[in-house]
Amino acid sequence: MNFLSLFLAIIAGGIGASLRYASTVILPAKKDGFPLAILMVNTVGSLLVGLFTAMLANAVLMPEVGFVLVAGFCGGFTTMSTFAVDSIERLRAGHWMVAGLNIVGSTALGLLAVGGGYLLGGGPLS
Amino acid sequence: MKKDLLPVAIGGAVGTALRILLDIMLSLIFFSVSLVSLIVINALGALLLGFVVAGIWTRPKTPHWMKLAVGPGVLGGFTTFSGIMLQGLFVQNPWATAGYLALSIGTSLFAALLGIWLGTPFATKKATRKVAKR
Repeated sequence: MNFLSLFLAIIAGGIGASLRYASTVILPAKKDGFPLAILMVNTVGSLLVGLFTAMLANAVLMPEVGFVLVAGFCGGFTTMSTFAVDSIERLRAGHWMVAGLNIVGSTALGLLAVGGGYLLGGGPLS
Repeated sequence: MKKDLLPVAIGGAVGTALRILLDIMLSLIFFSVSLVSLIVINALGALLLGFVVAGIWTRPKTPHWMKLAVGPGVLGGFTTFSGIMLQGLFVQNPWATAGYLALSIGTSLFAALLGIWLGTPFATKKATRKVAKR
């Protein structure tokens, strides 16, 4: 990581956050409804992170470019804070099913996506 | 929406910068990997978001652009879901992966709950003051 890649990663994080926000505007969650936009963003971001990591391992991506895409774009695009607060708000409102489905669903889909992305990118298996 | 994107983008860039720098610093203290540091970062971000959402942001005077810059912007960019999933994948042992994900997501959820709990008194403060003045 050099100064340029750090700078570009910060810009990529801003772009990722904007895309995440745009998704929540296009697909708004009703109050105490299922936060589908954030689940989709986190799943897609996890898939991309797996894909980029595999490409890094195969030297398809330069380490600096990989850093910008993984730590910058995917890190800024996906979010844990909104996911956690959304889930807790729904739990506190008594919507156990919505909260439980969001927590279990996001985790399961995220894990499947990161693994799928890694396989899709032809990442080496050890 | 176009007008709203700017504060989110700037906030997201700031949050990303803070995450990368804190990740480097914490990785020096803990392991040389991001396993522990991402848990700390996500918990901190979830705590702060819960704090403001349940507290000061319930006041009608909070500017819309500030909510956007701090919420989906700084704190959204600061915390990461994909990073946690990547660390979970790298653990390469089904039980360790399950344990790591449960720990990471559990701490973030607990932090959000704690943040909401700590922030709630700030939501009513102004309203009660007004009542007292009258």
